[in-house]
Amino acid sequence: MTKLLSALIVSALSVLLINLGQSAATTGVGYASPNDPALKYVPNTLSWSASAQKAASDGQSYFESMLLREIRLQKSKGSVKLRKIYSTVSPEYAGTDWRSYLPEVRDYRIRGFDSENRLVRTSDPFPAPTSLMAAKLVYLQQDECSLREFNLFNIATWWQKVCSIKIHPKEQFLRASLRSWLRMTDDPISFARFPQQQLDICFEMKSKFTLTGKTLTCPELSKYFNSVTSVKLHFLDPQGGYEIVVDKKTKTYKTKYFAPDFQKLSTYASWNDQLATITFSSATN
Amino acid sequence: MKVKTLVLAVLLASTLATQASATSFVARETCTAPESDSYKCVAGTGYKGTDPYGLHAYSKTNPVDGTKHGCTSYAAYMLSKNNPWIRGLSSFDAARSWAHDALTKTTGAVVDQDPSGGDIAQWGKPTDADPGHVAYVEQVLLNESGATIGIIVSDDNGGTRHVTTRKTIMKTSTTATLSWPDNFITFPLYGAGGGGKDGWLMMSIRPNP
Repeated sequence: MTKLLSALIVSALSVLLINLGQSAATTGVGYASPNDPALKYVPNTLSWSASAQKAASDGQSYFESMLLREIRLQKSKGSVKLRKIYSTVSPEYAGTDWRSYLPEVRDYRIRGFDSENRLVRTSDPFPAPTSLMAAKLVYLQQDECSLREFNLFNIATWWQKVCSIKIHPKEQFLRASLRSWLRMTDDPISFARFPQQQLDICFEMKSKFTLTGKTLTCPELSKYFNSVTSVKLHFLDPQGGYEIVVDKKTKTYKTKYFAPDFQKLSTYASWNDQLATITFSSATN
Repeated sequence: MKVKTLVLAVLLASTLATQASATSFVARETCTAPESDSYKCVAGTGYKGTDPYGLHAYSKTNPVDGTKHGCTSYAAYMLSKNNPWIRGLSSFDAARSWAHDALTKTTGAVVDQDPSGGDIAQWGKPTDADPGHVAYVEQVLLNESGATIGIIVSDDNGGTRHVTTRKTIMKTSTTATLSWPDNFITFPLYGAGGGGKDGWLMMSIRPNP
């Protein structure tokens, strides 16, 4: 009896697992809204490969070196105190869930002052203009700090905040980098944009169309797109995808969007020197 | 001879413009490259999927011929051919942010709603979820009184398309990438004489189907 029960449970579990596996492999979880946060939320549970960690290391060194250069320049010009002056938040971040990735989204300039509290120099913005959100995870830690070293005979140096550079863990840097990448490259919304446009035109013209599997053919689209008369109703790759379900009677459609395969994308992490960014593009992506 | 040609062109444009007011014009792709020859529509430019600004790093690859495609990469490539080096372009965000980034990350760029040949046409705004689109303005189409009625653009398309196209877009167009752009970006040109609002008379039109 126990054996029979066990067999039944194992069998039921197997069916469930097979179904789950098929679902994940063919379509994944679909979201009805292109604004669903799940489409771009990079999980903080990703495991990052050694090559990804190396990419993070390269990136962090790059942004750290830019800060170090500025600090050295400030010192050489006579600054003994640095102060950060924050800019306003760029509108690029207004629609981004950046709080999940960064402690601070504003850029800042570094102002250096001499021992008489006179302004010595104001830096360019930090980080230097970049589309890489993770660059904001390497920064001058203090809002105000001293460049003077500790000196037993100078009481002013005893309790001063010495300037230091804060570098967040590589995993955090990579996660924010992947989020930036998804802002910059094609995503489920852009994948679906062209087929949606084709369907809008086809239905608006009240044109005849045929549905075969996951392709809709609308010959009159040639008036707009030359030889392109077929509409891809399904697409999925590591950067995400979509599935469009057409209602033939009402000539309307509904789109489901599929989130990127974040774990898969994480394996493509690579430092790009020219753009000073981490890219997540495979050779075939 | 030149005067004769000009008169004929004005007459033709005038006739077409009269038709234009009677029929609403349709935007369309005048060239759609096949996936097997995906740069066909911009063959004269030398563009092969890369740009000196490195924005091709964000492009998609055509699974048929292995070539790279991205709208920002093509726009950057065309700018590299026709404009002095644009410091800051490599750090531009996705296409939706180009108008904003042109004003904040470069010097001398002008953003308006008045197209010129050589401009970058731009769709979207920084807060959009959609990455937006950019294209290179090849020609501006004017009516007989000199008002802009449309543009001809060339572009590259990532997403699921992976092909270059050439599009005629009328000011009244409203359909996705065939809609009238949100902005036109004029980057500084070589020399002092460039950057005028050059236009071309509209020489062919197609009625709405």
